[in-house]
Amino acid sequence: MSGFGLDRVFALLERGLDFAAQRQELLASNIANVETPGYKRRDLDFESLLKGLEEQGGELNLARTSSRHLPGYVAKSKEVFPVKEENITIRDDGSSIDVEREMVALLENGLYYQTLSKLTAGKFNLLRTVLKEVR
Amino acid sequence: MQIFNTFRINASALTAERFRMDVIASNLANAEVTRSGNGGPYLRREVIFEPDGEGGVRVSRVIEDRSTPTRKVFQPDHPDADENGLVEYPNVVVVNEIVDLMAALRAYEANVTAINVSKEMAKSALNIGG
Repeated sequence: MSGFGLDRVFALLERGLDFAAQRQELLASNIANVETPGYKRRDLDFESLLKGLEEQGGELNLARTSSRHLPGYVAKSKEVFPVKEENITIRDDGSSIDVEREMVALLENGLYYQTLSKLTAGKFNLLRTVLKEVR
Repeated sequence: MQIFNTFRINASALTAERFRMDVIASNLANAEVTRSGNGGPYLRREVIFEPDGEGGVRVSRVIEDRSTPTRKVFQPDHPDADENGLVEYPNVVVVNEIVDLMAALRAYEANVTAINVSKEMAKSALNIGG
């Protein structure tokens, strides 16, 4: 049992929300430039989200003299995920934007973000329930 | 805040697409104008977009279409007729303009959808605490 629920799960949810928020900006940019000649679509690499999940929160852990002490969790400073540009051409104006693909990616990302925020809210509700019971 | 930046990006596209629709409207309005400011018939205008460097889009310039040929109609009584009785009409093809207009409208709608998705994201984030 970790301390106060401020554990890895929160760290993972936060990281996922961060990822989706950053991705949303790039997808918005792709849709805004749907009629720009020669524009290349940009996206985040999902692998970068999976990568390094192990060291999540590992930088600034509280010092512990016993394995039974609470580990604590300090959020990392805001992470910037690597952006990949798809340097291919699928239209005769040199653009690599396919509007159907962008719209689907946008909706998918929006739902992903909402799922994660629901999970985060659910986790806070768990804490609230526990706190109410002791009172 | 990131989510507001997303709104700004799509809003820039709404502005750009709206401008494009204005230019198309101007082309349609001037489709029969045989004498414009520079002497000849009205020439159709086209909007060129470019990325604005902050993720959004902006209008880089408006060009006059000089590659599409103008229409020549035999109307000897027309005040703008040449010595052979031919009147030069603008190179505006109404069907092409309408197709362009629909493309601009759909791009506009895609950006409105994107703004709505971002809005739902922001709302769900606000619900975390409550």
